Amino acid sequence: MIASEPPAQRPGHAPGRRSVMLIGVVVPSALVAAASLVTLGLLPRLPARVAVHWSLSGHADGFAGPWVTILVPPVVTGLMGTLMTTAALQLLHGDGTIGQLRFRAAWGPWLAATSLTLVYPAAWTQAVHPAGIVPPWWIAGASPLAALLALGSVLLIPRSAIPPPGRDDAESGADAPALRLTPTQRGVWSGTTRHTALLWLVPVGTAVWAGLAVRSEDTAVHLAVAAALVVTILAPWHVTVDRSGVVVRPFFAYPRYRYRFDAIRRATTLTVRPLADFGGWGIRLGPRRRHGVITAGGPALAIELRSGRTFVVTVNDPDTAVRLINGYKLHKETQRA
Amino acid sequence: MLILIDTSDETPIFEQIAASVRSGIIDGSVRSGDRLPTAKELCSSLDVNRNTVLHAYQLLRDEGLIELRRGRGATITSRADKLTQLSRHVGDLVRQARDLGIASDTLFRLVKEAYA
Repeated sequence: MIASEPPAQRPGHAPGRRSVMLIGVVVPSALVAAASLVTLGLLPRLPARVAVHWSLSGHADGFAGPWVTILVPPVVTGLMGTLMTTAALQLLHGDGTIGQLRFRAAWGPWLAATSLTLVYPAAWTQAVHPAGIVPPWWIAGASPLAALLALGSVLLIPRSAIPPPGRDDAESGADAPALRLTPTQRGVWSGTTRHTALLWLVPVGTAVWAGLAVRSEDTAVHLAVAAALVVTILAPWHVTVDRSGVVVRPFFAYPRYRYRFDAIRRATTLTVRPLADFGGWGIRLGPRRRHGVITAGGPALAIELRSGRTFVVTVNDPDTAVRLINGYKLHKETQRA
Repeated sequence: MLILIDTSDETPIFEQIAASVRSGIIDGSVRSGDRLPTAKELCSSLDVNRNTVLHAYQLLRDEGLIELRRGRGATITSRADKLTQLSRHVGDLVRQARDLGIASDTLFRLVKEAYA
């Protein structure tokens, strides 16, 4: 191990950090703020109800006051861009891939591109023509164009932003002793996932947004999305460890993760930071070939599989679960020997 | 919550299941509001008779530690938190008795007399 290696790497990553900040939040927020200021200048000429949502045939089916158009895009772009860029920056210290970094950094550019290709130009046409001039090809083309712009901007983040892999300083799970099981002993451990009170903001915010901002048939879709979020993120997941293996499932039984002991290499406990390690909450994929059910920060059960992947679930009292899993593995290995 | 049984132990299995839940409450790993596995899940996990599990749950219900509701399974009651607190006090009591060099038999007698 060469002691001088980490300081030598530091300066090399500063440009990566700067480009992620610029592309993920600074430039998108600045562009949307500029468009918002232009709209503010046009305020006297805007109608009382500005079209903000259109059906695919080009008919406006969602309206809001001009202030919604002026304030909502910069606030949403700024907040979401900051949140996801923070998550992206934390990957610079872990061993995420460039794809994961770019995906996290893409939210700010995507929201900005949507505002700049559709929301603002459409509002501006309403300043000169009260009904607005938004042809169908524009509606149909704006979303793919916004996605392309977002993709193009995150491709500007250099591949070298991510430190080269190979340094084995990656935090690994903490070992816990195995529970010694005699041949006549049988154990079962059951637990449920923990939850962050703040998570309620996600579905509640979505429901309020659906109810207030855009009044159209899409409201039902928004509410359904909010309900789905409540169920998949907030409903407690059950984790059971018994002689047949580990089962993780939500209260309505599906989707279900099931691991038999011969597929498990070992179990450990981990400390999870949802945004930094998994880019958010719910059923997630993370760096270091990790996947799992992430509902809150803090201690989690990590099951290292023989396939090289690791399943992580943020459950209460993971230490006892780890001791029982490792106990059963030890028991089965000694039985075989 | 960890439930551990030993088929070679002379203590009946239902007693062992109840004792596991009680010790989870005492060490604080089981709290009020926690759900116990359903009788069906537990009997297949431990490979015991369903009636054995139900017997254990009835015992815990009679002690006021769990609530049994049709369709909702078994839930730990608020009395469990009180038992967790009490077990901490008992730990303190035993530590004090040890510091004073008082034998366990003497302490048991003192507790028994205080109850009478």
